[in-house]
Amino acid sequence: MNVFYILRDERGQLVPFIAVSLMLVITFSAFGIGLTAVYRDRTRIKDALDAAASAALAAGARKETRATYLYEKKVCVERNDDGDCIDWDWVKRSRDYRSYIVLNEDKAKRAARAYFDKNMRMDGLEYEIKEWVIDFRYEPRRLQVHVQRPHTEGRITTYLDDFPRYVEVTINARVETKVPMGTVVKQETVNTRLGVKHIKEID
Amino acid sequence: MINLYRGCPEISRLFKLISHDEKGSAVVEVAIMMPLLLMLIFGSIMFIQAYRTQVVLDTAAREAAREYAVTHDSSEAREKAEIELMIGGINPDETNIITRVNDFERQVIIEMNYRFQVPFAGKYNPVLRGTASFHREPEPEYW
Repeated sequence: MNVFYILRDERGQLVPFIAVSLMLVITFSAFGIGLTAVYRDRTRIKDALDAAASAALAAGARKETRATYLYEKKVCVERNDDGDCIDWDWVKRSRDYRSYIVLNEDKAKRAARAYFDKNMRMDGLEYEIKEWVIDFRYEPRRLQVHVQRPHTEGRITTYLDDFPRYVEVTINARVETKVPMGTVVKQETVNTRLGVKHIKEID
Repeated sequence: MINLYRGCPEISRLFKLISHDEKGSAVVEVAIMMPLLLMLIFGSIMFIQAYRTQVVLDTAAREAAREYAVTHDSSEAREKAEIELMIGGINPDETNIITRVNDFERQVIIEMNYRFQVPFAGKYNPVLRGTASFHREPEPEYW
């Protein structure tokens, strides 16, 4: 058997071709499956972040109402037999109530983290949080508050105070998850950076 | 082995002819490799299809849990889950929708027995599960 015989021999010519094709198919299949899994994990992280931001507002935000005009009124506290007032007193009164939103930031932060972890655990994801930044922003609605209570509180004043109608929570996170079949494409983990923003607004 | 047929020149000649004939060798090689290729290609397709189903289950669970957290009504959450499943091309009757309440938490779990077959690799029946948990929202009247 010489070199010319080997070159002329056509037996087994498809084997190298199929071997190369198989390697390509395996690599692309692994890549496709890995990419699909990474995308699915990204969707799950996004959903978990969504639940976290929603929980932060649901657990931490509450509505309150306050008057913007505080005054006092003279009322009768004692009358004689004829019904005439013989003793007066000043009582506190208020009007022009405005609703606003208050957020317990500590509670909101705890709820956000708890719901993120819960959703990720329920999805069965192995993950590690590399970055977790949660910010709150309020509407800068400042209203004038008038206090006219010289007799009951000893003061007559006017000042600007905050009455925010909405609060916004923003979570920016970087989460590391494992890549299924990552060894084939030499990418064991993937870092997903996502941000969500939720707003709670009152009428 | 050829020696066995030395006494019979006809058989010996036939054997030589077969062993040196290269016609059809490609067919044999393709026939050997094709099942492996088919298994890989169809396996990938089935695997990605299973992932797609998983994403639909996740989406349906999330939408349903959100609905449950807002409306506090499990039947509305189920209805929402069924709509989302149908949009994703999944028959809701083939799934098991579970709603759970835990203090302020509203959970929805959707399970499905996903059956698929890969040529030359057998049948598979994994349980796919979409889950979501949301904090209960105050009544709309509260705000």
